[in-house]
Amino acid sequence: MTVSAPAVYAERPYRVGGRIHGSAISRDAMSAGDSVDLAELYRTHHLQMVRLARLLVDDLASAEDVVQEAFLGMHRNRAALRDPAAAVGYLRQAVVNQSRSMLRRRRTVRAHLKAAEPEIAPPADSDVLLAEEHREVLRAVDQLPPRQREVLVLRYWSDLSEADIADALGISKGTVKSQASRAMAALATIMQEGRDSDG
Amino acid sequence: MAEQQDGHDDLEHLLRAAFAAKADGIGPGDLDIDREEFVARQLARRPGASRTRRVVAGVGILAAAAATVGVVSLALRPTQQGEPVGALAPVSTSRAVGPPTASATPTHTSSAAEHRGAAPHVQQFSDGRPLSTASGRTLTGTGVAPSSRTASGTSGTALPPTLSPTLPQNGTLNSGPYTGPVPLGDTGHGIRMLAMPDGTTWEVVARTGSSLTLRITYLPTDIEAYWSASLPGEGWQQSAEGWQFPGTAYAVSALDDKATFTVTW
Repeated sequence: MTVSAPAVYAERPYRVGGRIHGSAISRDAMSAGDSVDLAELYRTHHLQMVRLARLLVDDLASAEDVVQEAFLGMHRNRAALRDPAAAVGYLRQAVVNQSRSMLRRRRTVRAHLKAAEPEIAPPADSDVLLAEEHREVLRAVDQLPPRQREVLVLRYWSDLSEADIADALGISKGTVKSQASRAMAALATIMQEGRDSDG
Repeated sequence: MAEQQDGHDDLEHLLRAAFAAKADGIGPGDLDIDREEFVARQLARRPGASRTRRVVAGVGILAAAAATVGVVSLALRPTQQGEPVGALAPVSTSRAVGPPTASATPTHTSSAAEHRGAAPHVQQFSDGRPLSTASGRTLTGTGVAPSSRTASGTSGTALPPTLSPTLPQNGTLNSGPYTGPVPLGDTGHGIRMLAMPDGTTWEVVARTGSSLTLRITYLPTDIEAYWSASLPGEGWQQSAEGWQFPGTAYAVSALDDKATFTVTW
C-alpha cells in the first residue's frame, strides 16, 4: 500500500529555527513545472485569508468579498505569478490591499448616506461573543489608522517579521517599526482613556 | 522602565489573544458555500481553456470579416454595363435563434449588433475588469447585445445581455454593496444582466426565486436618463411600471423614493 505524505498546510504561520515564516504553501499547491495551483491554494488558505480580512474590515461578508477578489485577481494575472513560493505572500498582500480599498470605499458611501441614515447598525457577526477584555482592545484597534491596524494584525496575528510586513504593505522596515510603535502607544492611550471614562 | 516594558508585553499578549479569539470565531461553517464553490470552480479552470476560446472567437471574427469583405467586393464589382451595383444587400437576413452566449472577448461583442443594424450597447468593459472601484463588490458585464433580434427589430426571442460567467452570479449575491451591472436570474438561457451607470453602488434588500429588490446606495448620475439611453438599444422597452423586455418575464420596476427597485425574471 502506498502511503502519501499529507499536504503541508500551516493553519498559522510556522516557526523554523527561530525565524518566523510567513506561511507554508501546500505541496499540492505547487504542481509540476512550478506553476501555482490556485484551486489548491484556495482550498488550503481560503479560511485563513478570510480570517485575516475579517480582522481588517467590518464584517464577514466583506471579508469574503475581499478574499474572493484577491483570489480571482491572482487568477486573472496568473501568468505574472512566476514564483510559486511567493504565492501566499502575493495573496496576503492582495487581501490587505483589497481590505484597505474596501474600507476607503465604504467610508465614502457612509459619508454619502450619513444624512439619510445617521445610525448604522453593527455587523451581524459583531464581537458579542468575545470576552470583555478582548472586545475592549479590538474597539481600540478599530480606532487606529488603517496602516497601523494592518501592522498590528500582521505582527500579532499573522506573526510576520518586520521584513515580511514591509513586503506585504509595500513600505520599509523602518516604517513598519515606527508604525507599530505608534500603534502600540496609541492603543495604550485609547484603552487608558476608556478605563478612565468608565471609572 | 521595567514597568513600561511589562505594560507593553501585556498589551502585546492581549492583542494576540483578542485577534486570535476574533479570527478563531470564524469557522468553515460560517463561510458562504455557494461563493466558495463558485470561486473554486473559477480557479480550477485552466488558463488554456480561456485562451482556446479566445483563439476560436478570433478565428470566428476573422472569418466573419473575410465574408464581409467578400460580399462588399462582390457588391461593388462593376456590372457588365460598367456601373456598380446600386444598394448593398444586407450581409444576411437570417437571425440566430436562441439565447446569445457570452463572448470571451467582450470588446468584440458589439460588432454582432452593428451587423444586424441594432443599436450597439455602448459599455466600456475591458478584459473582465471591474467597471468601477466605487464600492465593495465588483461585477462586470460582457455587454453582449441581443443576438436573436429579428430583421424587423422586434425581439421575440431576444434576451437581455449576458453577464460574464467568471463573475459573481445571481445565486452568489449576498447583501452587498456591489457595483456594476445587476445579474438577473437564470431562466435557462444563462445569466443575463441589467446595465447600471458606472460607479453606482447597490445592495440587495430582498429576493425571491424570480426577483431581486435592490437599493441604490451611491448614484453618481441620473439613472433614469442612463437607462433611457442604454436599455432601448439592448431591446428593453419602457412601460408604465418601468422597463420590460418584450416576450420575456424580464422587467425592472421604476425607482421609488427610497431608491429601491425590483428586477424580475
